[in-house]
Amino acid sequence: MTEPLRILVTGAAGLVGAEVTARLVAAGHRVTALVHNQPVIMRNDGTPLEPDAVTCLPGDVTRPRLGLSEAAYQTLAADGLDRVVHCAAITDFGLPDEVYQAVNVDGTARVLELARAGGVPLVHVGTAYVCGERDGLIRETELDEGQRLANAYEDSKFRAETLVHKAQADGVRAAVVRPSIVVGDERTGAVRDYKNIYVVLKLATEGKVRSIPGQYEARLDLVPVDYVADLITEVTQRFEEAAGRTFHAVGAPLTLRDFSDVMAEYPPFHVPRFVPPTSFDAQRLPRRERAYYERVMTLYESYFRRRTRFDDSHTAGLATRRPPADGQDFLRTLIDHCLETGYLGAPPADATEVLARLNITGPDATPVAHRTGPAASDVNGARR
Amino acid sequence: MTSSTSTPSLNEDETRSTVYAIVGAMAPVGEAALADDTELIADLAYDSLRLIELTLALEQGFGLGELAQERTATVTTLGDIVRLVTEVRQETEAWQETEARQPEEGR
Repeated sequence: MTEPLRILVTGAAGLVGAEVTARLVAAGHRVTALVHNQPVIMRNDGTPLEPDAVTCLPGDVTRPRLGLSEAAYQTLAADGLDRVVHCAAITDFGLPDEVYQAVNVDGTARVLELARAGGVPLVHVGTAYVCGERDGLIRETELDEGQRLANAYEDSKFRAETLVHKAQADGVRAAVVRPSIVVGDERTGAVRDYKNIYVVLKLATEGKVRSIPGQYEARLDLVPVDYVADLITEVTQRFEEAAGRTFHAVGAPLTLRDFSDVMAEYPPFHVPRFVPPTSFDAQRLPRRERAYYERVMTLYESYFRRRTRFDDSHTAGLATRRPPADGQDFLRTLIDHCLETGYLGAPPADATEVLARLNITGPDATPVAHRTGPAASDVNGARR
Repeated sequence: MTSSTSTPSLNEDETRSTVYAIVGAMAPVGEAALADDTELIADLAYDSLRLIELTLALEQGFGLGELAQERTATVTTLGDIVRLVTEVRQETEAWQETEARQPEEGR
């Protein structure tokens, strides 16, 4: 048992933050949980954290002093803390750029101010995808390699981590943990929030999206939330060994071929075709599929082209636990859990079925206005 | 072409009752009482995917053509939908009238 530490966790109500908070509390540390909207910290398995176990502080990382009163902030900065674990971040895709800037970049700057003011060691939670669209092996020692960042999320996390590096150069002590795509529990597959990759899985398996521009050789890295939380906890507790270094919290990589093969094992699932991006034309999709493609799939498209592989030597040298050995087995666990909860499986009635049930046929099946041109049909990538 | 006259004008009450029927039937939470200030996400448990399906249902049910993302993005309540549908229907009618007039203007 390590000596009890006084620890501030930002984003403590988030998927990763809640699990980190629970582990730090269980290890006997005195945890102050900075929470934004959520008054209760809900663990990934749906159980709330005992309110007495942790001091919850309503705050906002986008505001001066983390949104705390002068007195509360001074208490933290002056004598309060042995560690700050910065989990607060926006991880949803497709939000306005200002949101990522405010929370992910400016929020990190505020947390660095606190770390600097109090001389408090910082554990910054980043993302492995600060590598942007670089292909091939990504090392923990690399950050700015002149890469192109695929979206406002990646760009904001890249700039946040750059701020951490700058602060380290002026004396702030920090370690960075970079998770890849955070998904459900390694053993049970359970996940509290179905976001990002889950939404893609849902659209694909329900057949709402049938062709996706991408390459079967592209790789996605899924990492269990419990593994990520374990690693962050370990880096926090063993900060002296971790200081100044970056740790990839990554799982077993899966190619899109691996994804397709696993999806095909489930009889009710549709399996999407990945078609060469150069021969994909969204305008030729049927209206329904195009709506899903334009509103959802475009957010993730770049991930279906990248052949990224993450090196995690630093993590392997520090952590006691290793990531799932078999990516496909882990994916099966995740899917099985989604089937149990009903997230995947039989979808609710679609628009056409509901309208038929209501006896609404539409006043005009093919309105003259807004017609989109030649007969739309699913001609993208006809070959499998 | 007969389409320019095949879209009967619904009055606002008819639009409202059809919107309510569609939104209620598509809602993840059934049996909820509906009003103009009912919120799709907070009260009826719509998520982002179900909202897309609702958009498709409104397009199909009212024969609206495609609702642009910029227009649906600001919708949060049933009342917002009634307003959006009414607006788009008026625009469509105006557009169809212009189209119908054009040959007379000797284009």
